[in-house]
Amino acid sequence: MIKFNLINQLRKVKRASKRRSIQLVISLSFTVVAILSMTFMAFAFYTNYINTARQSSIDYNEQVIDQISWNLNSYLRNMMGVSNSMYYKVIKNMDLTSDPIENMTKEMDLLYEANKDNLISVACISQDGALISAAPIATRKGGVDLTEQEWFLNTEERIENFHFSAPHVQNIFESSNYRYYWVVSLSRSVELNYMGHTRRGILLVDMNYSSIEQMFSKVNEQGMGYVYLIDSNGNIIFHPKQKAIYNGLAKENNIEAASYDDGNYMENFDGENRAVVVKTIGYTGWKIVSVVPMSDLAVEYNQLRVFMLIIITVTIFLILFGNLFISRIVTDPIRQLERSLTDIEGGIFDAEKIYIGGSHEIRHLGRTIKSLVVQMRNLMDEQVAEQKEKRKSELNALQAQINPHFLYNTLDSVVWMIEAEKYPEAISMITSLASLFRISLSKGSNIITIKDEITHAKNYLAIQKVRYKNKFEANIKVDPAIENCITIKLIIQPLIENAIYHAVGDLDDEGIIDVEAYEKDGDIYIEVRDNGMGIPPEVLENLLVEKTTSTGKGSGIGLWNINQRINLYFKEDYGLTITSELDEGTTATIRLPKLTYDEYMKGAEDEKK
Amino acid sequence: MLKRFCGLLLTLAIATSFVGCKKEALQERDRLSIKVGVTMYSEFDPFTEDIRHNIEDYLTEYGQKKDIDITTTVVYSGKNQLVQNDQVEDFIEKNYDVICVNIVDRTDATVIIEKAKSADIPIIFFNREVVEDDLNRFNKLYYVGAKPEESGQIQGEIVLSELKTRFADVDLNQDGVIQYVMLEGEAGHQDSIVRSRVSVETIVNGGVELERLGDEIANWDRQQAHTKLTALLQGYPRQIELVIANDDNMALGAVDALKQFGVQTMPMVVGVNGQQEAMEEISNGNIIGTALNDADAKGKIIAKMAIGIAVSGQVPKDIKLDQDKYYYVPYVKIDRNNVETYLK
Amino acid sequence: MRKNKLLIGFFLALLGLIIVEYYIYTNYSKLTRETIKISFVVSDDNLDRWDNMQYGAEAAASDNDCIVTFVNSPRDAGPEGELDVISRQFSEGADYVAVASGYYGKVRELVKAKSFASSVIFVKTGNVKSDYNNLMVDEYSLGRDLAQHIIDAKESYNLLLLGGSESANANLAIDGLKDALDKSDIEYELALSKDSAELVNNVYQLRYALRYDGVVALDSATIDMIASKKDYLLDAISVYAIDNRQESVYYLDSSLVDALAYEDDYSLGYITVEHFLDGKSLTRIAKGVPLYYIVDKESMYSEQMEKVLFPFVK
Repeated sequence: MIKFNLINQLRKVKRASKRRSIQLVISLSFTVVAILSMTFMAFAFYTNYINTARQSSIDYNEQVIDQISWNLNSYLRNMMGVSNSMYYKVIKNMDLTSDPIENMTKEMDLLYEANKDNLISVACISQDGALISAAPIATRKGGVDLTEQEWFLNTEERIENFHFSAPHVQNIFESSNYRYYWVVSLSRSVELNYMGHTRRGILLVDMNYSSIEQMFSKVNEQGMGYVYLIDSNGNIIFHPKQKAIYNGLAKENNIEAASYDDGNYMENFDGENRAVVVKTIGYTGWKIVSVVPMSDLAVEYNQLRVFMLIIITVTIFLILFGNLFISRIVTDPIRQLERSLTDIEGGIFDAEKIYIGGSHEIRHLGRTIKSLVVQMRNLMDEQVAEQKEKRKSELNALQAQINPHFLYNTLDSVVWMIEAEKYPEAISMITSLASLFRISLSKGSNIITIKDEITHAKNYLAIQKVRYKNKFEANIKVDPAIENCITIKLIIQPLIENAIYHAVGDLDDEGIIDVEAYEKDGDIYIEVRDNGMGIPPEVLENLLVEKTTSTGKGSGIGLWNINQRINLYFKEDYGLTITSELDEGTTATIRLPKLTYDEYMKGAEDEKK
Repeated sequence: MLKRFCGLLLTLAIATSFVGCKKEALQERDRLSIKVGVTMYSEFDPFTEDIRHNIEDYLTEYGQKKDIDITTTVVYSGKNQLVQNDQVEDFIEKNYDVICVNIVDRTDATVIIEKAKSADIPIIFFNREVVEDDLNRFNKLYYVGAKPEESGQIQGEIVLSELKTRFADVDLNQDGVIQYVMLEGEAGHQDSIVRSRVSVETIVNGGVELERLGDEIANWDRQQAHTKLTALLQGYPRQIELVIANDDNMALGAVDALKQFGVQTMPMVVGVNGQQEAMEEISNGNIIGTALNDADAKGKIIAKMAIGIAVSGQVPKDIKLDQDKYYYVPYVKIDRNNVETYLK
Repeated sequence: MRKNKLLIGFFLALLGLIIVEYYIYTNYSKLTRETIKISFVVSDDNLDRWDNMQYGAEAAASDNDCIVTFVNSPRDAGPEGELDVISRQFSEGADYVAVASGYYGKVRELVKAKSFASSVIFVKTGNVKSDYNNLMVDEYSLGRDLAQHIIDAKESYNLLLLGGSESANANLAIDGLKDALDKSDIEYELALSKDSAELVNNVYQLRYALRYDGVVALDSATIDMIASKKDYLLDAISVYAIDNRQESVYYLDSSLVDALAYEDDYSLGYITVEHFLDGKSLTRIAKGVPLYYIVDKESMYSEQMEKVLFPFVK
């Protein structure tokens, strides 16, 4: 299901990405790349810095630890030196039976005085726990069995070595002023000489614990974390919270730390991550452990972290806007250009609407498109005009055709008249025919005056009257005011022809054809009325449609032709309308603009321009 | 597609440049060539010189046998720990595979151990034993030596068996108590402390009453032993019945002094180590015995360990170590009866 | 025009962003944590007795950016004087105040009315069963345990429980002692002295009454008095003490005192400071931590007691 959704989602994204605009693509890709690289840089910088900082704090700790270890080491060696010189210079060659003990005590006092700050006491103890000599106090505390003390038991383990005890309260000498000393006992096995007999003994140097404590306290007061000291088994020798640890109030990882080799470690203790540096003191196996909780280090990094975050967000913001801005600058003209082209898509070739702006390339593009549109438009106009002319001439040519039947019939009538020696009639007929042709040709012009057109119609009627032996009557009435206005030639004659052929020609009664030309509302109307049987409506509908050329009789020039020609020459409001009522007659009305010839010529020139 | 690939490549390139290649260049060491550094506390100690000699000999021998090119460098620190520290540092800097240290101050091994540890170079301490806590600081520290208790005991036994046969001769003043002089090695040296104590305790536990006339530190030195004993002889010209020396060199010094002083009856002199000259004196009867501290075996073991560690990183399996660190060469008692077998 | 608007909007947004982030920056990037100041106000004429508590408090404060100060309010100043001292701590910038009051009840009421009441806890004084912030040694158990020790020692059968006017808290310890002793075959008498003259009298009584073979010193003044008159004391009389000063440890070491009920002020100080710093409840921190010890001469040098009785720093 989830997979399905995922696929759907992917598809959606894919589809959307197909529709993506240039701006989106540019700004998105720029932003993604910039953000990725920014984040990467920031991350790399941050981790690098953290590592360096962590390393330097570890280095610092190591330095601190080295310093302490050096101090502690020299302190311990100093104490070992005290023990050595006491043993080899004083005790070894002293016969305890003959030489006065004071000599030893005196030597001890000297040594004690020289190392007063670091020593609490020096004492020589015999194998059975008897105090032989001691400095500075030689009064032994009552009821204390020296053989039971920890250092006493340890010393005999490896006689060739020095032994360092755990810190403890010195419990050998009488204390005054309620004063008790914490000491670390440095003991060694010695040989005591009693008149040539050797006995074992112990030389005890009680080191002042506060010397060690001071070394560490000084360090612990400054810097992060703390430093503590353990022996090789992990027992705490010094810890800033020593007492709290013994009371169970604080915890320390000392036992674990005893197993660490020298070096630095990360450990998790009591739910806290800490950096630990360990260093072992020579000879004793004591370990100095420096602990810095990571949270302490983290405090320093917090600032950096926030700072990095700010830098990143600001930069991302800048990048985002910058990219949007740049892409907008780049793509805006393109988009405007694109939008302006939608009209052209719709077929409106308005060159003025095309956007030209933006960068050089886009301006160039805009200009090119514009010139293309202009050219295209010119071409189209030319083509339209050409077509119109072509049609005009076609239609005109069509109109100019004289029905051969008509010509034959007319000439046949003339021949008949001549045979019957009706010359005046023949002359009249030929004259009419001649006039008919003259107007038909009319020097090739298609526009003639109404007067001429009416004359043409009269001639035609005259001929037809002869042919139809006056079976119909024709009345022509023209408003003299419009006689000089123009009309397209050969538009009345076909209507009359139609009226004769289809309406009055076959009538049994006398047919009447009325031709009337008048002006109304600034336009010219020419009506051709007959009193024929009328045209059925279904036929009427098709009359003005192309190709319905009248069959049979007639000049073969359809009413459509007339209408078309008027339309072509003038506006479409003008043209031919036909109304008809069965058994009543038909009226064909031509509507023309009222124009004189000059006016028309001027208009036609204007149009051409 | 190509573009994408290029982009990926670029990112990777940047990434790697950031991460930074920290990998150390792998040092392909020529396995067939090893360097062994030896630093001796003093060049005037015949016994340690013996060991050094043996180490060199065995290294050469094993090297030829195993077809390994071994460079052995020996330096002397003139009884100065600071000089020795520098020498070890120098060995480490020059990438020695293993360093054998005859330490000057056995209580002050810190610097050497820390340096070796940080460079991860194994160290074989010998003859002068550092404390266990120090030896435990790094897993590539070893000690080859002998148990001083053993030598002290052997010394005691030699004296006891000698006394069994001729107590009366030895007990010059016929008081039933043996007056003795102790000639100790260095102050603080584990051998001198333990030998001195154990030898005396063994004799006392053997039922012989002892009286110490003097206890002098002669620093393993024949001349010093000579001087110290001469001084004692002036104090006790006829009383000294036994001289216990911590080593043969001092025993020889004692014999020198006794001869020079012209004592009427040679007191019993007992030493440790089994030096050739001392063995000659044993057969002459001037020294009653010694505990053979097998310098040959020590040298052999050290050489074997050094090669094993340098070549394969571990001690050869046929060398059994105590706690993976200690090798103790046993002492052998030498007295009149068996001295011939050891005389060269 | 549209472009300009966009630019202006952009810069405004940037400005807003920077302001917001500056705010975050200043708030979250403080390099040093605030230093917390904790004052201890103790009802005493000097601070000698409070060293241990001070060490404990300082140990807990170390590495935590915390400053601990100890101030004493002289006993003569009374509860009002103590309240003045407490108020002064707050006006001088203390964040928290721990009070070891000589007049618990009154001071408690006075503090309750103050605005800083929630930043004050009472240490070492008060009522063990009180639910109010207070940390103290379970005196009753201490008395009971000391009594048990006396019973187990089988040295004394006629006890004098001797006390001065000093501590009201001793009442609880006395109750504990009494309750435990009542169950044993040990006879005891309670003698609380109003002044030092009476106290001296009572000490002499120890010797001359010839009835007693043991005495329990209920407070510091009493054990000091006994110590000063130790020459008068019969050897047969065993001395037990409730005290937490170095002097008493010395008395114990020098065999004047047979057993000492020692209150561990170090832990009290430590727990108090940790409570202020961590916000953990006092009882939770103190859980499993003994706040008093019954020590005798045999155990005083044991590894455990050594660390309790003898301060590392001197």
